[in-house]
Amino acid sequence: MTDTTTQVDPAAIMRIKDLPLRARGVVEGFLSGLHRSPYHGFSVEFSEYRPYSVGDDPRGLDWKLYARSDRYYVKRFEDETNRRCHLIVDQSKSMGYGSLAYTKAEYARTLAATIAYYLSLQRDGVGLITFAETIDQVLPAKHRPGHLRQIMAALSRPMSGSTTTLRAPLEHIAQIASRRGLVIIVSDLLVPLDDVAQSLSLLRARGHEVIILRTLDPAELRLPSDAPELIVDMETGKEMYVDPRQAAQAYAERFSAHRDSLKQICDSRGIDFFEVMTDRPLEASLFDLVAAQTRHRRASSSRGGAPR
Amino acid sequence: MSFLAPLYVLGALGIGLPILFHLIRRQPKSTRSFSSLMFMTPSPPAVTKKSRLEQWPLLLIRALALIAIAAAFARPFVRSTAFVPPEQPTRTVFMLIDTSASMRRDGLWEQMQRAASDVIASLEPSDRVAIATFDDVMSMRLDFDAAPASEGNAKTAATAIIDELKPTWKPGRFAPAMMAAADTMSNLDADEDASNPSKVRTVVVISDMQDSESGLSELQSFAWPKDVSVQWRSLQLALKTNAFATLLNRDDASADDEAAIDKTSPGDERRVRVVNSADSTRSLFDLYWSEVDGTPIASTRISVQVAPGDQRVVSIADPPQNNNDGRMRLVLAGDDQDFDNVRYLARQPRQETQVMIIGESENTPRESLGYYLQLAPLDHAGSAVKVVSAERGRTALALSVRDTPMIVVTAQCEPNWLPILGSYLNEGGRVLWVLDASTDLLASQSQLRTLAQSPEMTIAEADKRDYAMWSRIDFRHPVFRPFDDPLFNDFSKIKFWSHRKVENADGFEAVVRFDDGSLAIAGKPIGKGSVFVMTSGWQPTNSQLALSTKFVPLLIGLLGQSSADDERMDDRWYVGRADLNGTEQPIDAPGFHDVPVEDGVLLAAVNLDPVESRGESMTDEALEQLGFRNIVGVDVQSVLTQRRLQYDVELESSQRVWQWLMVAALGFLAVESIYGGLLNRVTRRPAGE
Repeated sequence: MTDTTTQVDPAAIMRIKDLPLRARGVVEGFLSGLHRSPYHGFSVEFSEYRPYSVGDDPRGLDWKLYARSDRYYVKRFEDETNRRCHLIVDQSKSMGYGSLAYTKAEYARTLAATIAYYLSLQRDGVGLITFAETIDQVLPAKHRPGHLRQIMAALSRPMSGSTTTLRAPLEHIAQIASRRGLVIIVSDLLVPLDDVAQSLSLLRARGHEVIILRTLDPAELRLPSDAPELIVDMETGKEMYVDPRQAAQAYAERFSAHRDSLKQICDSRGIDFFEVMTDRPLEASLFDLVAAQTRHRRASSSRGGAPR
Repeated sequence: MSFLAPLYVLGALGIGLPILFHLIRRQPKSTRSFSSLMFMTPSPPAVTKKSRLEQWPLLLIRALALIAIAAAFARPFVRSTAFVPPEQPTRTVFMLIDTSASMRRDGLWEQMQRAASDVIASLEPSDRVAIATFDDVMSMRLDFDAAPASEGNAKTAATAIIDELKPTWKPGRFAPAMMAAADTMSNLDADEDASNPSKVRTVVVISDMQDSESGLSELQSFAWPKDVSVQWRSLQLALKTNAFATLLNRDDASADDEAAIDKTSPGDERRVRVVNSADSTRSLFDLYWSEVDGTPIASTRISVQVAPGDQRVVSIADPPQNNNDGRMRLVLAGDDQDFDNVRYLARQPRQETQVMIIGESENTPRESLGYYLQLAPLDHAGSAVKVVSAERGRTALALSVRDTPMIVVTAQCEPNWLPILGSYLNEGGRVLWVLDASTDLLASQSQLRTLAQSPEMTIAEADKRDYAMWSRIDFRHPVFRPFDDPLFNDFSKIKFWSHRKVENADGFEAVVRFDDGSLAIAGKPIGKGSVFVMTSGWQPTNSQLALSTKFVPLLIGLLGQSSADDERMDDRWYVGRADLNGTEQPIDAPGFHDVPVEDGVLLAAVNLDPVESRGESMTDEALEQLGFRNIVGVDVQSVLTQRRLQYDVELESSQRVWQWLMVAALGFLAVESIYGGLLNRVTRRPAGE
C-alpha cells in the first residue's frame, strides 16, 4: 500500500488553523507521494470511445483511430468526462465527540476540504451539502474559480445541528443531480440503518457512484471509560447509567453488528465503504478514495472501454 | 402502651431510608457525553459488595436514636390498671316547643309531634329532659326535677305532655323563649358541677321558625352559654300560600287615600290591607264580611289580587246593619291556611257626650264663650260631643263623668252648683273655670276658694296694658303635649287684650303663664278629677284665642281626649296582649270579648297577631348568624371519644414517657458520636501510615 513514512500525522495537520491551507498541505503531500505509488498512470482525462452509429456528429469521429483500426469511433468530449462530486458532510452533534485533541467533525471537515481541493485540482466539479437533522448548507457541484473558496468557507462554519438524518441530503442529491456523479458521504453513521439503506439504494439507482467515509473516533470502538458513569447522548441529551463491566461486551457486539450490517448494505449496493479513524492520516483516506475511483474506472472500462 | 399521636410512629420508618440509601450505590457525580447511546445497554445501579452494610453497630445506634425520637413524638403512655373509662355522658335535653298560632297551619302540629317523639325516643334512661312551650312567653311543661331519671319514666311523662299540648292563638316570640331556656340551663348548671365534662346540654327547638323580625336583635346581644348546644327542627309547610287582612285605622297616617273615605258617613266603607306572604303560590283572594255562623254576605264579596310578598290596601263596604250588635267578621278566602282568615271587628255604639256651660252671660253671641265652644268641632269617631248650657236657675241632680266629660264655668256660677261640681270633680270630672272680662271676680274668688280648696287664693284684674301674650307654656302638660313640636308651638300670634291675676293659688300648677308672669292657665287635681282656671276669655273682645288655630286642639286637650286616642273601633287588640283597654285581662283566643269597664261592658274584638300570619321561615343561615350551630342529633359517641381523649392526655402528661425517650435518643446520639469518632480515627490511622 502506501509508504507510511511519507504521511503526515493528522494531529499535526489539525494544528493548522486555516482549512484551505490544511487541505492543500494534505493534497500536496499526497501528490508527491503518489508518484511513487504503484497506481501511477491513471488520469481523469481518459477519453472514451464509442462505436459510431448513424446520426452521430461526424465531427466527433476519431480519424486517427479509424486510420489504425479501420473502424469508426466517436471520441467523447473532455467536458463530459469531468466528474461532478457531491460531498455530504455530517454536522450533527455526535460528530462533536472526540477523544483526541480534535473532534470527529474537525477531522471530517478537513477530510472533506482535502477531497474538495484534490478534486478541484483535477478540474472536477465539487458540490457540498452539510446536514444534521435537516440540510444545512447546499453548494452545487461546479468547477469555477472561487467555488472552492466557498466550499472552504462553508466547511469552516461551526456545526449547528443536533441529530443525524442522512435521508434528507441523500434524497436531495438524488433530486438535484441529474447527471451521474460521485457522492462522498463523510459521517459517523451512528444511526439506524433502515433509512440509510433505502436512500443509498435510491442514489445508486440514479447511477451515482457512492463512497462512504465513516469517520469514527478510536474511543468509539469500545466504551469510553472503565468506571460506571452516567453517559449523556450528545444528540438527544438522553442520559443512561452505564456500568462498563456489564455493558462493554454488549456494546462491542452491537457496534460490530451495526458495522457489519452497514458494510453489507454497502457491498450489496456497490458502495465503497471506508472506516476512517480520526487518528488515521488524511492522505490514507485520500488514497482510499483515489484507489476506489481507479478500481471503478477499471471496472467500467473493462465493461465498455475502448480497445487500445 | 398506647400512643397519643400514633402517626408520629411512622417517623420511625425513617430509619429505613439511610439503610436504603446506603444499599443503593450512589449515583455517579461525573457524567460523560458520548456521541450515541445506540449501542449502550442501561445497567442499573446494583448492590455491590462495596455497598453492603459494613458499620452495623453504627447503623444500629442511629436507628435506635431515630426510633426513640419518633416514639417520643408519638407521646406514649401506659394505661395502668387503675384506668377508669369515662362514664357515659348524660344528656340534659331541653325541648322548646313552639305553640304559637302559626303552628295551627296545615300539618305543622303533627310534624311537631313527630319531631318531639323522635327526640324523646332518642333519649337514654340516664338522660334528663325538660319540656317547655313558648308562644309570647315561655312556660315550663315538664321540669327536669319533675321527671326522675328512672327507666322509661321520663319518656312516658314527656310523651304524655307532648300529646296534651295544643296550639294557642298567641304570637310566638322566639328570642325571649330562647333566653329563658338559656337561663334555665344555666341555673341548672349552677346547682351541679358545671365543669363536669360528662354532661351534654342541648336545647332542642321544635318550631316553624317564623321569621319574626322583632326580637332577634335581642338574641344578637345575648351571650349564649357556650356549653349549651342548640338543635333545631324546622317544620316545613307543604302548602305555603297564606294571606291575611288587617283593618286600617281610620286615622291611620299611613293611609294613602284619605279622600276616598266619606267623612260624613263613617262606617260605610272600610279600608283593608291585604298582605300576601313571600312564598305564596297564588295571588287571587276573596274578601267578604260573614255572618256569625260564617256564611258569607254575598253582597260584600270582592276579589283582591296581591302578588306574593306584596301588600295592597282595598276598600270594602261595611256589611248591612242588622242585629249583629256591632260584631263584624271580615273573611279572607282563597289561601291555603285558614287559621288567620277571619278578622273580628266590633262596632262600638256611638257615644253621646256633652260639655256643659254654667253661668253663660247674656252677651251677644259673638262675645259669649259658649258660642265659640259650640262652633268648635269636638266630635270624634267614638263619640259625639254636644255643648249645652245649663239653664239659669236650674241645677242638675248629678252629673255623670261618662256623659259629661267637662264643665265650663264662665262669668257667674250660681252658688247651688258648687256642691254638684265638688262631687263631679271627685268622680273624675273636669271643670274649666274661665275668668273673662265679664266675670264677677269677688264671687268667683270665693267660689273657687271653696271648690279648689285653696283659701288664700286671690283674683284681681291685671294691670291694663295694651295686650299680654302667653309666654311660659308647659309643653309637658297633657293639654299642651300635642303642641310640643316646633311646627305648632308658636303661640306668639295670640294676643290677650285683658286678663286676671290669680295669686296664692295653693296647689295649682301653672300650665301657661302670661308674659308678665301671672297665671294664664293653671290646673289642680281634686279628687279623681281636676279643675283648670283660665284667666282670660277666648272671645274676640277678650283675646284672639278663639279665632286661632290653637283653640280646638286646646279644648280637646282640656277635654282630656287626645285625637289619636281613637281605639273604639278597630282590630288593634291582639291575642295574648294582656293590656286590654287598661284592664289586665288575658285573652286566649280571637273573637269578641266582653271586657268589663267602669260603667258597663266593652265589646272588644280580639284578633290574631298579624306577626303570626307571616309565613316566611328563618333560614338556617340566619340562625347561625345568631351564633347557633345546628347539631343534628346529639352524638354521644363523639362526646365519649372526646372524653377518652381528654383522659389519655391527662394520663400522658402525668407519665411523661416522652421525656425519657428524648433522653434516650440524646444518649444514643452521644454514643454514636463517640463511636463514630473512634471508628474514624481507627480507619484514618492506617491510611496515614
